[in-house]
Amino acid sequence: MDQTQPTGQMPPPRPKNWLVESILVTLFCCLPFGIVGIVNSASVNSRYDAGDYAGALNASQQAGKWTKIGFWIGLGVCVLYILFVFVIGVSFLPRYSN
Amino acid sequence: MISKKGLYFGLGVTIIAILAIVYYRCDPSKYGLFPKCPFYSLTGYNCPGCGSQRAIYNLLHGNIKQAANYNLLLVLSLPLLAVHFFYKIKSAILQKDIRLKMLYHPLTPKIIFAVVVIFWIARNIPAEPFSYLAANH
Repeated sequence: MDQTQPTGQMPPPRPKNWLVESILVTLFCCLPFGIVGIVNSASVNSRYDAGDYAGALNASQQAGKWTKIGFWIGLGVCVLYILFVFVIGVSFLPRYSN
Repeated sequence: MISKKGLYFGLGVTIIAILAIVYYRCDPSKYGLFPKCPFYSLTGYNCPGCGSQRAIYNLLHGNIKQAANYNLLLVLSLPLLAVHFFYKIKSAILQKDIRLKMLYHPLTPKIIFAVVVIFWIARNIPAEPFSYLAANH
């Protein structure tokens, strides 16, 4: 019998699934990266439960990566937008915002 | 000595406090200073997050109904976010990793993904029951 998992060994801790962070990025950064994060969260949970700890860890890192990319791009867009508004001047303010 | 984690926590709380004051004082539906959604600007369609800034303004003023009108998904996600951050703070205080079990259920992210996508599509359907979900740009 092929024993890949030595008996008595504790499974590694469940990796962070970034689910809530992905939801926040989806709601506030208006970017599809949050959705990529949610998809990866799903595979963190299912892979860990299937015993694929390395895969779960990998999915966790992917989820974290996309969530952070979404966060920083969202923040960058905000900063650029604010700079843009100040450069153009208050007289050209659009009437509606997000 | 302040730990790196404590520093991030303090920085996060400060930024959230500043944002809360800004969003309490200024109504994003009246001022154009707030950043617009890039997805909406490019496509003319609502994204799942459209209306969030106006929803937060209304939430800070206790106007949950109006907030839900701008972004229902944001209002619905609040209880989940509240519980999640309660657990985070609790595990930081107790120096123990306490997590909300529900978030780690294999079905949870799939259901949330489905809800987000359905919400995204539905709020862009220009017909009566669905148009209530739109952010009313």
